[in-house]
Amino acid sequence: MRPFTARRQAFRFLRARPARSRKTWWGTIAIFDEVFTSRIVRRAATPWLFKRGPEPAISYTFESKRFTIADYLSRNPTTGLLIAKDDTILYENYQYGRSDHDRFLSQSMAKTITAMLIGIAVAEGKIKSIEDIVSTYGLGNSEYGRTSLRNLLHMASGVAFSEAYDGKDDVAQLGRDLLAEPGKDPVASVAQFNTRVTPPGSKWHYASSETEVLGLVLRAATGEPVANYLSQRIWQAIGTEADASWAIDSTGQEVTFCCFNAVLRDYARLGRLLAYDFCPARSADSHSLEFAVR
Amino acid sequence: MILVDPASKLVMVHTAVRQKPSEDASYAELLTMWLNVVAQLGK
Repeated sequence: MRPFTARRQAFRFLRARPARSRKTWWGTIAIFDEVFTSRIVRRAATPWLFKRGPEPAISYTFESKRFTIADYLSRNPTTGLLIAKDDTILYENYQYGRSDHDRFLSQSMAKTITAMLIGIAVAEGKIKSIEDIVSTYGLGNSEYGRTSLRNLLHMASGVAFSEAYDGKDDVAQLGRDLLAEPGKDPVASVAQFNTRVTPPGSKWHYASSETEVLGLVLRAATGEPVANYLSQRIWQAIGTEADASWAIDSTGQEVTFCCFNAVLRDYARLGRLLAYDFCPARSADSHSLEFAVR
Repeated sequence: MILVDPASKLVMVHTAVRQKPSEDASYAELLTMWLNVVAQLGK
């Protein structure tokens, strides 16, 4: 993880290329946690290993034409693709010089991880209830502060927030606040989005800000960095084989709406945990997921 | 993206570099492939 100087250099590099090329963007994403200051999510001391199965012959019809997985990879900017069935990997492939040792940037998969950690914090009693409002956790007098965790988990706060991905929208502002220098306090950053347009809980609206608020709640409720909480409660328990990383802002808070990085097989381990609905005891292989998420 | 089918315990992890988080045509093909993975391997 490079220090802030590298971050400054990276932003200068990107600013010098207003018509950002795909090649430049690929390069940034491939080393995201080297460009942006990140906190390590420690892997398991002893990894749980997938078995290997024969590669299946998958085909599909799209726009009236028949394709294979190889066709899909040649037609799309895929960097990694892995298919597993329970404890067995059936297919694993990398493109663009990436490999099983590279961490891949998650954009919004990080939102699911954040939501899972909120659930664990509730189970541990660190968060009393998802009906709590955000201000319970000391996050100020704002529309988000008056919103329940449930409505944030549902992305139904009713607070206006735009995600058009045009570089001028609210999510771009949030990203600049948290990842560009000099950096803005995350509580102040989310508080600038303070116009309630619909009653809470009445309408779903995709908003990265809502997961960022949940990350702040998580930090306040658990008293420890989100990356550490993830490592202790999930990442080590599912037997990950590699350290992951999570980008942090200038205050040291994880940017929880995005910016998580992990190797592909560890994402698959996380997916398997979800397939078992957090209840690994249901696994037929008692050695595969021997842990309990409290 | 992590796609999960709890019934069959199938998991597909897909990482890509796209200009935007959501490009509908690309997602349509990915989801079509995933549905075929579930149909063909999920038994």
